[in-house]
Formats: sequence, C-alpha cells, structure tokens
Amino acid sequence: MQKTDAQLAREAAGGSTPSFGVLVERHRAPLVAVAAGVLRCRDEAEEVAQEALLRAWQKLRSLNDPARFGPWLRTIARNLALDRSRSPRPVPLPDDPPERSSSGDSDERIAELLAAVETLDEEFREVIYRKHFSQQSGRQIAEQLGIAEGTVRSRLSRAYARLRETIQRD
Amino acid sequence: MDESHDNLEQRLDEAGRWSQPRDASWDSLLDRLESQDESAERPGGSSRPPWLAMVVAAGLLIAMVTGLVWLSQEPRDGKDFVHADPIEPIEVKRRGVTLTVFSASQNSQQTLFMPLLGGGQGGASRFGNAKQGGAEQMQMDSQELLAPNPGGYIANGITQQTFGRPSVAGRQKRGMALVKDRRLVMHLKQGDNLVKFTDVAATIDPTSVRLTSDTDPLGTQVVEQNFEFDLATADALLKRFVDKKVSCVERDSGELIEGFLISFDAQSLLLADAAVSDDPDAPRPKTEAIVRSQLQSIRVAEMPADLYTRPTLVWRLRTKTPGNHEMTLSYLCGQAVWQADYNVLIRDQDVDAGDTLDIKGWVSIDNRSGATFEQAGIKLIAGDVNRVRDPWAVVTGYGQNSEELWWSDLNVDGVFEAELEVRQKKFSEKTFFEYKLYTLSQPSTVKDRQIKQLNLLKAGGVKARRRYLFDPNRDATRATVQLLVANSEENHLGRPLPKGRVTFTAVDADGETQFLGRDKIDHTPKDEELELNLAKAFDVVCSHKQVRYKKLAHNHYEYRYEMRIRNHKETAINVRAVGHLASHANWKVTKTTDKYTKHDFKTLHFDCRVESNTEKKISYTVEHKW
Repeated sequence: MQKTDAQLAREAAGGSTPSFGVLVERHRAPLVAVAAGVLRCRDEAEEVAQEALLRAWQKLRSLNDPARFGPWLRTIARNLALDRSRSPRPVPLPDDPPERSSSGDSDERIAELLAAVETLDEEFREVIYRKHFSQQSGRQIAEQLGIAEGTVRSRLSRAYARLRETIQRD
Repeated sequence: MDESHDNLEQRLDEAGRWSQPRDASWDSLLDRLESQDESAERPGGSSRPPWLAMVVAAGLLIAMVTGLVWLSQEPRDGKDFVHADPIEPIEVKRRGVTLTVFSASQNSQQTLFMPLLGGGQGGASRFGNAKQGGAEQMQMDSQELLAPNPGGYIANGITQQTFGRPSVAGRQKRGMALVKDRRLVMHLKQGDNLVKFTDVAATIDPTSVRLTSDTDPLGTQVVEQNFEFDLATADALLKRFVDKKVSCVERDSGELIEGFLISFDAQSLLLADAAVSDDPDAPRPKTEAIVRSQLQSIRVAEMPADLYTRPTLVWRLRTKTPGNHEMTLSYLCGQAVWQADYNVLIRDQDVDAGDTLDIKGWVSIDNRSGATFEQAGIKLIAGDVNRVRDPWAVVTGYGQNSEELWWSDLNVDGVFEAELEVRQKKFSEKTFFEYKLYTLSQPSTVKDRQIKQLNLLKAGGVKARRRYLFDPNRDATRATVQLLVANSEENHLGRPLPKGRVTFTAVDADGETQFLGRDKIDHTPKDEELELNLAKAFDVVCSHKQVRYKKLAHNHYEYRYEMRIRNHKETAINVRAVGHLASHANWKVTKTTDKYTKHDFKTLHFDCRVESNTEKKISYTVEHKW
C-alpha cells in the first residue's frame, strides 16, 4: 500500500525531501492541468506548477490538515496562475497557428476541458485528477482518500455527469 | 456538444497525458528545494531543538560584529566591494541565453567532440524519465529514484545511462550552434572559487568554451576548466567500488548478499567475502559470481563525489572582486541545426501566361544537443560555414552526407521522439560577413529533442513561368515540369532565400489541397531566378535519337540528332530541350532547325514553343573534329 498524501506531507513537513519528491510526482500533472486551465498556455502552466511546489515546500508547516495536501497545493497553483494571468504577458501574434499536441485535441481544446474540470466541486475534482492525471487506480484512490472503492466509482460517475453538463452548457 | 461517456473519459485521459511535465527543469526541482535558503519557514525547521537556534543566533551575532569591525578596518580603493560570506555556497542562476544555429552545410564535417557513451537512450532523471526508457530500464520504484541516495542505490540490469544525451552510436547527426549563456554567479570569494555550470549542451565542444565576467572582466580569470561527462551510470558507480564493499538484494528471495566487489561486467558481479590483500601469503577470500539479472538492486556505501548526474562545466575561477558576478559563457555545440522549408501553393494555374503562387517559408530548428534553451534569443546563420574534421570526432561507418536522410529521420518511428511545435514569430534578416543572419523578434524556448518551426516569410501573388524541360540524359521519354520564379521585389519576393526543401501543393476541383511534388533550393540571393522542378509531365511525350553518323576523315565525324516533343495538352507549352555533345572533341553545329544557346562547352539549349496537340521536331547536325 502506498503512503497517503497525509503521511508524506507530515514527513515532508519534518524536512524529508524524498517524501516531498513522491508528492511532487503524484501531484505535478494535476498542478499543470490547474494552471493550464487558467492560463491556456502549457509552458507557463509548467512554470506555475513548479513555482507552486516551491511555495508549498516553504509553507508546508502552515498546512493544518495534511490530508488536504492535494486541494491545498492546487489552490496555491490556481492563485499563482490567476496572479500571472492578471500581470502583463506577451501578446501572441494574431495569426499564430494552434500548437499541435501529440494527440488529437488541440491545446486550446484541452485547456477548455481543464477549465471545465476546475468548475467542479472539490470532491469531484479530486477523483478526476487522481484517476486521469495522477493515473491512480480506483483502489489507490480509495486508499488515499480513505473511502470505499464503490464511493470512488460513484463520485467519478457523478463527476463525469457534471462535467458533461458544464461542457454542453458552454 | 454531445459528449458520450467514453469520449469524455478519453478526452480526460488525453488531457492527463498532455499535462504530464515535459520541461527539463523538473529534473532539478528537488535540488532547488534543497538549495533554498535555510529560512525559518522551511520544513524541518521546527524539529530542531531550541538550543540549536540559540547557538546559531549567537554565532551569527558574533559574526556580524566581527564582520563590521573587519569592514571598518579594510582599506578601500574607491570600489564598494561586497564581501561575501565565505561559508555561503556558490550559486549559479541563469539570466538568459542566445542560440545561434548554423544551417545544414554541404561541407559539414564531423566536428563533435562528444565522448562516446554508446548504447541506448535509457536514462533516468531524479523523477524518472519514462520517455527515454530503453530496453534496459532503470529498475527502481519511484521511492528509490526520489531518495537522496545516501546509500547509493544502483539499479541493476542497466549498463549505460546517458541522461538525455543524444546517442552517438550509429548515425552521426550534424549541425552546429553557438550558445551564449548569461548567468549570475553568486557568493564568489576573493581568490580561487570552484564554479559549476550544469544545463550545458551534452554535445559541447570544450575547446570552444569561453567564460568571462561582465562584472570584473580584468580581475577575473579562469585558472582551470574541466568538462565533466563521466555521468553517474550504474557501471561508472560500480567501477569506483571495485575492492570495496557492496550489498546486493536478490530479486526473488529478497535476500541480502554482501561482499567485496572484485570485478563486474554487463552480466555478472564477482564478490569476495573479504578484501583481496596484496600480500601473496595472505589467505585468499572466497569468491562468488552473481548474475546481475537476478538482482533487484545493488547498494554501495556512498555516492562518489566525482560523478555527475549531467554534463557539467567546472571552473577554477580566480577573482579579485568577491560577491556576485554577471558572467557570460559561450561555446559551440553539435547536433543543433536548422533548415528552411517552403510550402508553395499554386493558386492560379495557367500554362501559357504563367502560374500564381503563394509561398510560405518556415524555419525548422532541430535541437538534439542535450540542452533545453529556455526563452532563448534565436539567431540563424544561412550560408555554408567551413569546418574541419575534428580528430576526436566520431567516425561512423555510414559515411552519409545526405541531408535528406538526416531529415527523413524525423518521420521514423522510434528513432527519437520529435515534438513538433509550431509558432509564428517574425524574423529580421541582415547580412553578416558572407552569410545571412536571421534574428527572431521574440525569445523562444528550444527544448532538447524538439523540432521547432518558426515562420520565415509569407509571399502571395508570386508569378512563375512554367517550362517543360526535356533532357535526354535525365529522362529519355518525359519532360520535367519546371517553375521559374524571379526572386525580385516586383514579384513580391526579393529577399535572400536560405537553402531548403520546397513542397508544392495545389487545390483540385473539389477544393482539396493536393500534393504535387517536392524539390530543394540552394541559398538564393535576391534578384536571382529560382528553378523549381515539380514533376514529370503526363501529357508531354519526348524522344531523342541519333539519325546520322558519317566519317568525314579519320579525325572528323558528322552526327545528326533529332528530338521530338509531342504536346497532348489543350494549351501551348514552352519547352527547353537539352542537346548533349561530346566533351572530348571540338564541335560545330552546321545545321539546325531551331535556334539554340550554348549553355556550356558540351550542352545546347533549344527553347521553343509547342502548340497544343502538335509535335515539335528539333534536328541539329554537329561535326566533331580533333
């Protein structure tokens, strides 16, 4: 059984870099996703994700509930991305062709989906990020969140439904 | 938008893959954490006993008082020196980088100075480099990879680690770039300092490295420079532990085997139960050969200090000015190259009056130097830069000079992962020495193992004359369709065109863009004419034959040749027919049906017009004499 975020966060707060490294690996993709949903720019999103992790490392002791490490980290990333989006940024040339991703969706379309994920409630976001971004199985998510596997499945199902509604509405 | 259940999950999976970090700077994130200031906010601070904080505070107070007294006594020579704390570690921060990439050159010689590491592209960063996993992969779980490695774990079953270094086995990639890297070096002390620069290109030419201090160029000198490329591979680590104690964990049983490493190779380790003594009378230790594939991991006592995780430039720097220095590092590196690609859309087709073209030029920068250049100023040199072969350069058995093959690699699955990024920024062009220098208007990030495409030019309404070339030496029956484009301002061009590949397309009756053909152009100055070969004409049939041979004297012969061009098109065409003559004799055209121009000492050009659905016969008689 993997260590939970709460265990790792406690160890990291005690100065354990390896424990923080595991948390980094677990949460970096969701962080990039959160920042990309705000900034609509993948390169900048990676920068923000790293900055968020550096901030988190500095402020880890101020985290009252280590079990909420993931949401807390994503809030840092979201705030940093919002700060950055408000600051003056280089204006892209009008006829910039869209960046091609290795997969089918364009970067813009993916960013729209990420922004839609961000509109979900925290409990739904949590399972979406863990399943699709941190590539955790249903059992791992259940262990990490301390809930039953069936609950994970139902949360995911409701999260998909909400997400579909959001996408259709937009 | 109707999102089916599966489709939404697929899109989320795709977004998950898309969000996986790609930037190389992630590899150094934990290092950056560890190098952060020992501030009160840093985790672990509270776990220290209070008396330690008091001792530290008292020490700092004494140091400050001592420093103030010392500063007040220090004679000053007008300069406001910043006295760095001698115990403060030297830090290096990147300020900016300029990348000047040279175009693929015809005379490219193997000039890479990179040591051969051979083998696959396997490699693992601190976070694991899944993309680069080769057949022999680091077999550690994430916990081991992320561990600070106090015990120096070595993954078993790996023989080489290249850490993203381009593989030089097999085909040698060409190309060259000049890197100008500005960095802030902090906390230098007066006298000698050991300064390390990581994130330099793996294909660096160490002999071209130049480091200058912009803060104190006269008072700062490089005493010694080393390029450290003995990277921390499993074998490099094991080599340092021969005759020393190592511990192995067996894969299946989890049993711990300890012993003194006698020797090792790719398949096995030889362990002894005691250190081997040089004394011939000493009892010989028992030895055991262990198959490496049966091991889960091998543990050594500590990580040797002389192993580096990535290529590193190390200097012994002597300075008279302590404190922070703005420094500029410049060097040449290999395996970075650019070429131009032109997309020509034949917008309006008119065989007789001429075609109208829309031309878009792209620059493709292929960086496989082993370094990512973040937000770099980009300059491109067009022209054939002369180079000489370096005695250390890797010589491959392929002997390939074809750039076509070079570029075709981009499409070969599994050769490497080419990430295609398309951006549009403006290039300004200037003459530089005998070359053309193109400077990008905005900085751009050029990642390692990435092809970046940038807009070079856009020209619409370019007029082209269409010509059908019949050269019996190239093709005895068919004519080549050529487009002749004046590279002039009147023709909406009139700018130097770097050497590159030209792709022709046209829109068919259904509105679909169709591929027509591909050609190459050389570096073409303005006001020169581009001669572009498109394809073989379908409706134009040609023949060439010798119809007369007569010996006039023992050294004097007469030949007659006949060329026929049948135009089955509905429009008249302009044709250039090429007549080839003997190069070993004096010749004279005595009779001809059409006017010709002498192209060179053995080639005639007949430019003529062939009406629709007619046959044109060109006949010429030549006397050869020697």
